[in-house]
Amino acid sequence: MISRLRPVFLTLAILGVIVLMASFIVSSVITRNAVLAQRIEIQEAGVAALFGAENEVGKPIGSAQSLIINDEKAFLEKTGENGLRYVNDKYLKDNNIYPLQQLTVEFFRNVIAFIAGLGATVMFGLWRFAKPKA
Amino acid sequence: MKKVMFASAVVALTVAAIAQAQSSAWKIVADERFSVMTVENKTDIENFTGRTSKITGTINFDAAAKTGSGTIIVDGTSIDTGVALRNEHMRSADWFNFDKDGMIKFVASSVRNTSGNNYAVVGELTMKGITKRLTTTATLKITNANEVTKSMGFAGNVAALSTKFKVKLSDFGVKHPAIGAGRVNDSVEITLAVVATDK
Repeated sequence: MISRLRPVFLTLAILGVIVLMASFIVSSVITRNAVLAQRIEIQEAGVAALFGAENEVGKPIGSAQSLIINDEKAFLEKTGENGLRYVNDKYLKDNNIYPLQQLTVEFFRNVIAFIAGLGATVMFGLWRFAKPKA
Repeated sequence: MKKVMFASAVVALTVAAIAQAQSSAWKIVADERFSVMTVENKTDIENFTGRTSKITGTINFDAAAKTGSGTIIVDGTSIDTGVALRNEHMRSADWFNFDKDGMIKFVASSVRNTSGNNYAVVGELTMKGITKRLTTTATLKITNANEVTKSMGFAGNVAALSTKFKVKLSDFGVKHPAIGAGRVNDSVEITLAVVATDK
């Protein structure tokens, strides 16, 4: 009886492998433009001077993250050490841009890959188990 | 006897006057151009930063002795993480319960100059009704009133205070299952930059 389901098990197993591979491909496509970036609030020169920070790019908002921002205008010209890019926080807000983090993409990739991989393994197991006995 | 009492009163008044002259009170300016608090938390899914400029309080500073004290109060309900639904979660009883008690209060009791504009600060942080001792470092820069400060709208001298410290959420009764499971970091980093004026 269960042997009649073998084509279904095999199809689902192959589908699981495809989804597993696709999760890595899609993830690498989405994150190909990810850059280490620091969100910056640009201050008036006078305000920065009050804090003794007149030589700094601006006030950092949080710590540097690997961000995916496709709008080049969001970045400031000045760059930091090791290719760190500065992002104008006001520009993000004004344009309703909530930058996607590489961490987020990789988290969902890992979840999808785990489920797909586990599913494929189980389906292959069932496909083998359901082999008709000679 | 009357002469002794009179002399004592004069001395007491003089000491009080000197103390008043040396230690001045600076009121924090709750304006997003000048004062902002950010709080950063790292999670499995993303690292996010909340921010607010609803900061009030006073800084008492003795410029001669380079010591002081102060109280800084932040309106926790106003912290914006950039996602409305997450703001709601943060304010709920599951997390910080700011909807019930939104006050984050730091009272600095000991301020010691370490070098230049740098200070070692000891005080007490109150959040969710729980008070914990906190030790941190801070920088305080005084700018005497000038044309630039006047153009920014300040009538008097200006003090700019900045500090950064970490807070353990579980110390303040924030015990969400996501923290226990390690999906949300139990530690948040708070950065505070405020401007205060003495007039």
